[in-house]
Amino acid sequence: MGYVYRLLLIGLAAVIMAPLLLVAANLLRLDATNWRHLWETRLPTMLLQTTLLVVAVGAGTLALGTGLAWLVSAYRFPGRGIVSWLLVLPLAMPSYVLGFVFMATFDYAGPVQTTLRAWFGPGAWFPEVRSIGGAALVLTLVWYPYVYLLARAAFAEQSSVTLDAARAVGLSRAGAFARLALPLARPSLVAGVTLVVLETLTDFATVRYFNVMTLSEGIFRVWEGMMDRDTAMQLATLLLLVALGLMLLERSLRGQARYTQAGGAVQRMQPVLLRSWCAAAALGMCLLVLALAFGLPATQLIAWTVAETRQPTLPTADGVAWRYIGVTLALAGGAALLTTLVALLLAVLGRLEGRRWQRVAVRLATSGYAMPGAVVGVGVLTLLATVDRALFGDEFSAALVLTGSLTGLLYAYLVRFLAVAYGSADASVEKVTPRMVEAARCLGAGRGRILWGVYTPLVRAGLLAGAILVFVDVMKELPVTLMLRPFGMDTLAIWTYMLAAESYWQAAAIPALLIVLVGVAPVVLLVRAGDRGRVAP
Amino acid sequence: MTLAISLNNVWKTYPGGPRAVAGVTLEVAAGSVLALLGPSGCGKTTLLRLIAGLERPDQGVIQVGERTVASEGVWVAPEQRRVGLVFQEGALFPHLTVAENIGFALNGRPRGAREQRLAALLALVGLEGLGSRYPHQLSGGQQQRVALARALAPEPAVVLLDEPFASLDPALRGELREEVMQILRAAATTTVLVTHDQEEALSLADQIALMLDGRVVQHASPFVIYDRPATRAVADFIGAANWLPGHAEDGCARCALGIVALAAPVQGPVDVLVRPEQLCMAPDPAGAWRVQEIRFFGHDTLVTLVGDTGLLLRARRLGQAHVSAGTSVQLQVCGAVSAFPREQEP
Repeated sequence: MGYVYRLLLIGLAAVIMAPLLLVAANLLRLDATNWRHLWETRLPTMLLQTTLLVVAVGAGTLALGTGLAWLVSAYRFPGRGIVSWLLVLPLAMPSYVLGFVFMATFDYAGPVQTTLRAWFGPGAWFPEVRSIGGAALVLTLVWYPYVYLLARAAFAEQSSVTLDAARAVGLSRAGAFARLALPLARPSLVAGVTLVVLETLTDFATVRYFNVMTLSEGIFRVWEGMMDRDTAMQLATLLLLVALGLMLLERSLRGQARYTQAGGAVQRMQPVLLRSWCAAAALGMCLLVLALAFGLPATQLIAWTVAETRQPTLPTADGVAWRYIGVTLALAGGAALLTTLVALLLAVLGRLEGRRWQRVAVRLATSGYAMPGAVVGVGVLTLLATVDRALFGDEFSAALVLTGSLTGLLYAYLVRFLAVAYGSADASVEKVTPRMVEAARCLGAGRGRILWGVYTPLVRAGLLAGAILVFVDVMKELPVTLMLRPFGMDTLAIWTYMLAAESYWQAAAIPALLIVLVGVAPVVLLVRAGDRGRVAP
Repeated sequence: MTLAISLNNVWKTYPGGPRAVAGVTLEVAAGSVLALLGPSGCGKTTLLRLIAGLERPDQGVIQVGERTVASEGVWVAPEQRRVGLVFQEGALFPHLTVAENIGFALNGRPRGAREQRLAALLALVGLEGLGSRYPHQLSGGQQQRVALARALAPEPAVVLLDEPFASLDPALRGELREEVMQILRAAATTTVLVTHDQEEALSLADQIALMLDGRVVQHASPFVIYDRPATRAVADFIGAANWLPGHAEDGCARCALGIVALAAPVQGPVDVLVRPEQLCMAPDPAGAWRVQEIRFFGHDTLVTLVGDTGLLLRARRLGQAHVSAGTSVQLQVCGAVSAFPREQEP
């Protein structure tokens, strides 16, 4: 019995790891001429622009996320309660959606610059929108909530006693923030910024709108342009190394710093009441960020949607929208189901005996989330093409059996999003202690009763939450879908991206709005989970 | 005497782990309370889990009532053993209310009977009116009472308690264990209580089985365990002990305290066990013992005495000792003492 479980666990981990291992193994057979060619053409630009973008977005989200988190943690002002969770809402807006709305608004032909020219003449100066700066601004607005959420949680854990002690030795409130609260929150801040940076590495659509050439964008360029799988693979290997390096950097930055606060029931930091214009400025700051990152773009999307339904700018056949919606629901639903089941299986298998290698296997299997979508995409494609060739021979390579199929796409989603579902599944399974099962058995419950009476009710909510997160992630997903979707299987995200890439802003608003609406669900889930965590003892 | 539990030469070794239970033979009379006492890691919890059916013995026969539940070729699953089990942490089902937790094992019964039994159990453990609460809304003591009610619900032949009071704070512990024992005696079930707390075992149990290194080294009443320990190890584990080298002959032993009466005859070189409360002291300028240190605990006092050979003894008195450090005293032994043949020096 034990062998079956062990084999199953190793098999699952191997299947999930295989695409990434394939990309990593490519290191051993790097092609020198290919590299020289890359180095002489695009690679230096790609590396430079990737670095600049990563640094800008990392710094931007760090400043914005930490600042806002400190504002709502350390001060009290009217509207703080609502604003402190509304500030998470921009997570619901995919970067490529905010990107194209921003572009449509601020680009040369957009309303802002047109108005400026009407007032100040054709020479009116405006910063170049299609630039690293523009892309960094958009990405910062979309992803600062990662840092904000983690920083807020870190500040909430800090006890007022520690801060009081700092004040007692003569630090001002600002000094206490800089010298105490920030260093204490460092592990959380590092984790947040790492998430942001990994997202930045994955994104290719937004940066493409803004004419920025990053590694991910480069992979797509060579992929789409000349179907050059080799070069794409080389770049994917490089990107994988960068992501791995970042994860190692995060570990070392976090270091041994696992600060714990003395005592179980800590006294929370007492927020200071702000008055009159200070309160107005604090609220205004939060509202400004909210308006830029969510309010205004959402309003714009609604306006476009209304206009497009009244008078279409793009002739689309009736029912096309429904087909996109159907494909999206089916794909996201299927991926959520598959991923959740595998996650549950891993969570159960991983704790059967609790050996070290089992934990390592599970850990490796769930590392795909840190890998940029383009890496996962290239890895899965290459793996499936190899399997196809092995199974069906070369003559079939024109009609790839696995590569262009739903199987391939679902497989890639599994690799990419397993970690999301696993987090929830593991936490749920953890709730059912061995003692509980033993108590049930001693009370006369057989296997069936234990499964339905003890496991299912305790695990259900967590699994559902995990499935919803995966569902929304798949719905928003772009790089993997773009690379692996079978012919005709376009999702809402692909539809949005394609229309926006052709500057059909108004038409793109309809699928974009749908994505944002569905995307609000996990954000609410996230906020509720956070609140529950704070209420529970 | 009807037996509720009997174990015959039971062995259990965990794969890759130490030998947990090594040849235990034990009988528990129906309706009695047995304390399985021993230091942590002595195998007492494993023994409990063997009785409950949560572990399979490598060898040996286990009977619950008349029925053989484990032996070579026989295996009865825990859900069919009618054995109630209460864990240290309660292990209540967090998604069920107090009433649903207690009613978990009453599923098959008709509604009326079920409600009646539930009400009776809630009253028994003093939790009337709390049936609709969830476990996390209860205190630790209340949770343990729910766990007990849940275990008692299907009217098990035997109730096993695995250190049920260990995770409670001391103030609550004493009160709750009195109460739990009353409930269990009222329900007239056979109880096995696993504990490492000798006070708990001595005060609550009819019989104590003392376990060391996977074996039951002595199985007797609390009085016998305390006054007539079977081995030096038992004497050391239970209560405080003064050891005096001596020589035994004809029911008496000669040692640093003079000639003392032995409870059981031994011959030859021995170590005499004198409990601190058996030492009576009287101030005497010519006495051979000097008071070195006095520790006052309120209800009693512990006095450390030093003899002219440098031998240290501890004496315990109720209330104050009425001596001061440096005083010379006479010592007398009250009652018979135990002696163990001297272990040969290697």
